[in-house]
Amino acid sequence: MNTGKLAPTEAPIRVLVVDDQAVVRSGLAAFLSIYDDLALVGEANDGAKAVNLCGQLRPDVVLMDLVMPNMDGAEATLAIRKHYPQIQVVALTSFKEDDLVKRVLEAGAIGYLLKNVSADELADAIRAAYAGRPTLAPEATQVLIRQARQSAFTQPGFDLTEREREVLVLMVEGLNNSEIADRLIISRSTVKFHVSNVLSKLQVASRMEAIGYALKHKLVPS
Amino acid sequence: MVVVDSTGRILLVNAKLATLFGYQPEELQNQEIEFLLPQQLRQVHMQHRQGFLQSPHVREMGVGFDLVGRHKNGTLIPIEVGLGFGRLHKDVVTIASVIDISLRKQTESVLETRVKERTAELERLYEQIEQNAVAAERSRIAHDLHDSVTQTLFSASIIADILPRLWQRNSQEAERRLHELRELTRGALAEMRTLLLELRPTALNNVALTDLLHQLAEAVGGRSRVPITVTIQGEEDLPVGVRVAFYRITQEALNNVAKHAEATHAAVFLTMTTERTEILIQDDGRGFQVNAIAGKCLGLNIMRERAEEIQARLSIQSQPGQGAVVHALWQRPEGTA
Repeated sequence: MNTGKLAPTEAPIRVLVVDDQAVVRSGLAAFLSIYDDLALVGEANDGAKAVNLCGQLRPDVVLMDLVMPNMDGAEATLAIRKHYPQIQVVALTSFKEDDLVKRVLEAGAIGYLLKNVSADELADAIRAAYAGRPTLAPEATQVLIRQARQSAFTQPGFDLTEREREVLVLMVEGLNNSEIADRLIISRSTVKFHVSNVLSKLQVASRMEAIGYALKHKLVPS
Repeated sequence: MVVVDSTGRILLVNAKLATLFGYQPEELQNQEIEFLLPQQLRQVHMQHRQGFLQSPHVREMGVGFDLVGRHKNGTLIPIEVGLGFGRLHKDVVTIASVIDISLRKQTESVLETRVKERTAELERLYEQIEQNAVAAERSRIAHDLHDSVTQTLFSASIIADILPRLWQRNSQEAERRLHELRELTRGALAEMRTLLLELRPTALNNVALTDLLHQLAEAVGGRSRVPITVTIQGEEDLPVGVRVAFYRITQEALNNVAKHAEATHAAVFLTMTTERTEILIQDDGRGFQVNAIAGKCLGLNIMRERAEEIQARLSIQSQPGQGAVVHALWQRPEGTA
């Protein structure tokens, strides 16, 4: 366990606490007071004030609640990361809905913790965030894994065969069917067959659409 | 088409009709018309036929009732029959046109099945809507639980976590936090009891207003970290409606204090005499412009409605920077004391 002892020259990590509930802010203030390497620099009770205080106080790490009035945690995170990219945001919430996890991580939060963490876990997460390392509650990790799986298997085109991918690459290069036939040394009717499979697997109606889709979703090496 | 004489004998039948029933036209010649019907219908049909002959008239297709014919192979065919009549060698002959309506029947039965399915679906949906309403109520309560009890308990557990180390660093501060921990756990308990009342609102009827007010103060005070004092004067002897209304008004007022006031202290005064009962909820927070939020704030509307229900007078006074005072006054109707 990191005892939080500081070398004499080191400044503590400056932490801003954002939560609409006074009781949580109070508990977090007590928590921060016992670690030498962590310091509370301010508190905000909504997202808008949090963004403001980030400008004034320039904390190193923000502990961010998610469900709040006046700009929620994800929105505030987005604004903070945009204007002050050196400030790291750790989401600290009692909710573990997929949508909340996804939104705030996309907004640039480096951690996602539930309000059941112990004091030392929370302290370690703040230190990790300061060093640019993510910390995720198991529940948040599960959301990410589930989403990665889903998008791998639900994006049209995941089931293209190797041959169909080759044909798609040549389509994107702008070759017509007979040129593709020459290139792959197969008959034109075989090319036609592959092309129509590609269109139906990508769920598009035309060659142009297929090319657009492949580029947009990076189905072919660019 | 088939032509039948007055005794029911088939005089003439065209190929189409014969085919419909699975015969060659010659096979049907001179047969009784009932030959083309299933056994069970033959007797009835004969009576119908004789009735028709007594007052022969044209029966259009489509107005007749649906009949069932019998195919040569024994299967039944839904048919529709139109009737006309004519005279032949002094005899009255009946001319019947017969069409196969099995396709129509099929469609009808498909439609009927669909209607049944849709009806069942609607019933299911209706049930679902009812369940959803219950689920929505439960989820509101779950949300409230999250919002209040979870937050309070998270804070309590974090404080408990660090308390031993805090004790070594600063025993005075640790003692203060220990006191806070006690308030938080008591607050969470009070919050739980408040939520249970929301789950079973009739339970409100059996709890004294003074107990309810103390419970509210502990719950809201715990989560907002605003100390709330409760001062009671007089003996409680209130109709259920008044008790509930005063509870709800206080609940809304204190929720507003917790959410918006940023107060350092709030107080509840309840004064009861035989003629009148009044309650005062005041805080030293940042206040607000009463006119500016009139009609917009749900909490204020709820307070007004609750006061109206018991014909109590409600007033809300506040100025920016001056805190706020909510005052409700109920007078016992004369002659009921």
